[in-house]
Amino acid sequence: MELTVDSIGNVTVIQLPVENLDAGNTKEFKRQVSPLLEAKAKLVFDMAKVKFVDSSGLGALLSCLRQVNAEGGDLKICGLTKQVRVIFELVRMHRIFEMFNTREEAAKAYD
Amino acid sequence: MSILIVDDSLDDRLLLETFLKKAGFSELTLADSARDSFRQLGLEEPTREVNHVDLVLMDVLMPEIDGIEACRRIKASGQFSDVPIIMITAQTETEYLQSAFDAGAIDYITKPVNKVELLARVSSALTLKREMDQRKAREKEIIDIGSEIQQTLLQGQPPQDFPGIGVAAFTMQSLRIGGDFYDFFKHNDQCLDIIIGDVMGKGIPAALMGAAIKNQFVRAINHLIAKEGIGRIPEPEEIVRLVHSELSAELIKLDSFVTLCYARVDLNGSRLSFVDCGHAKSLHFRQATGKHVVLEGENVPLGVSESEYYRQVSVPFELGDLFVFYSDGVTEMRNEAGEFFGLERLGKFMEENRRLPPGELVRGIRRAVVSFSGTEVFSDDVACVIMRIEGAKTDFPLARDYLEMSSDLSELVRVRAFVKEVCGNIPPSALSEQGKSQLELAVHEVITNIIRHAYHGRPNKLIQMEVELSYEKITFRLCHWGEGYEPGDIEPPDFDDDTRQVGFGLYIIDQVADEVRYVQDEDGKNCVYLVKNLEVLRGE
Repeated sequence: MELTVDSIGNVTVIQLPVENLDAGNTKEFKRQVSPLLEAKAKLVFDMAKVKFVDSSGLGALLSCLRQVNAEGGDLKICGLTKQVRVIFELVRMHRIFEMFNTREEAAKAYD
Repeated sequence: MSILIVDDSLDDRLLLETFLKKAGFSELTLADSARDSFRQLGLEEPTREVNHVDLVLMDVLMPEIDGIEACRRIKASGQFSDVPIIMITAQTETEYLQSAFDAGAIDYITKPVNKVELLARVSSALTLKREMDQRKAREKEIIDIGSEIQQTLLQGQPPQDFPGIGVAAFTMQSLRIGGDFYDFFKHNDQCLDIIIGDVMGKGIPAALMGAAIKNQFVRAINHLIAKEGIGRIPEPEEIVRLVHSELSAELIKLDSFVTLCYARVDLNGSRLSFVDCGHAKSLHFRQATGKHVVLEGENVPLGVSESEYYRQVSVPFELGDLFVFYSDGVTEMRNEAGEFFGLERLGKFMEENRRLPPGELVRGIRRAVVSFSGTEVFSDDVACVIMRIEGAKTDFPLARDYLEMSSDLSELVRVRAFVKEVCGNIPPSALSEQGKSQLELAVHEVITNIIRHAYHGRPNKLIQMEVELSYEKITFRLCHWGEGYEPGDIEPPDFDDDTRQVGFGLYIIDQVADEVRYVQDEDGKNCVYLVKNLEVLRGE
């Protein structure tokens, strides 16, 4: 899994490069993303390519959010596909994460 | 009786009002323009209560919309198409009279209005209107009674309790009473006959003919059973031949004919035998293939040829198969563009919705036909009967499938594809797309738990998955030979340690499934049952 990292102003946008974020690859995802979860980070996860997330994937996303928040940063999510949105809503994660349609909208929300 | 006066001249309106009032007409409404008259009649705003009116006196020359155009619109409105309209015209405007009559006016009066002439024409128009109203009321009464008799006594009721066969039917008669009919004859617990027919013509004559034909069938069946003695049920072709010999000559004399299909479902032999007398082609939906076959016979309608020899055709069926019988009113329904509803649309509707109970299916077809035609007022009678071979139990599995996998997280993609494929057989009305995505996730979570908690992450261990789809629910049975575990054994989620997300998974499983059971059998095989109920409306 090779994360693509871009920036919009001082916001770091991380594209999740997988179709499935599940028990099979969350450990690797966590390993790859953890250097980016620095103090006061302004992060956006672009999930446009992800078609499926399971409880492990949700857990990994949640733990990223907690880690970033603990260090004074924030994490927003954009580009959720319909299927993934259904899963987010099932476990009410849509109330925990700030979600946007595009990475630009998400980055703008940091202004 | 109530009269509407439409004239843009105040003097003329008052003059007409005075003449009519003096003559004893008290219900007068005045309008100063065509548009005003539309407002008074409630034609401008459909929500407004419609004013009752028995006669319209309409000035010809008016600004904006003239009397001729106004006349045309009132006549075209439907609810006022029977209201007589008398045009009021100046001597010099008589060239307009032809177009006024073309627009639907019945008479005219010239200005200056002569009182005697006015009253004579008004009362003759009102007399006509009164008689027409009475005649219509009588006709309506006859059709009301006839329609009720047909619906309650003449139209057969689909059997609700025939073991192993689900049946539902509907008719819509274009004149509320008509020549489409169906009936059901129950010979024993294994054998159900259905007759569906369409008599030439419409209305009361067609309904009477339909009743007479059904009566002939009952007589023929009784006659044949009596002749054969106890023990044999006459074949459909024998019944149709006897009816034909009794009836066709009479039908030919009456210059009438009837198309019909007489079919028998024989549960014992798992066969449908039918005689198709020039009727709309019935459809057979096969559970095994999900596709339909058109059932074609070879005979002409009853009442066409005295020398016709009626033969039955017989087809085998399986559990879950569906039969659709209908009149050509269904397939020959036209939309605004003049296209037919057609066999293809009917077939497509059935293929997409074939898992619904028969009651739901006939209602769905009715809705589809109504929305296709864009009207509830049909030009032809419509009938439809649907039968499903259900077997002894209504909740028999429609489909079963099986998947074997190893205890490896990389297998999860295959698991989800499998669940997705099975869910593809469920119509959206039974389980929404969202519900399907959730179910996919829940099964995924169960497998993840088995890999983690039963096999403790050991690879290459066997997991079996069986899925059973019925009308009421979808059941997944997930079996493994690892350690038995129960939800209580699993610690609640700890989001700071993402190697232990199982509690989250259990929450998902609980949210999605209607029932989850953990069972161990004697051989040490552990099974997790996950059941999702489907939104299936019971047949009626």
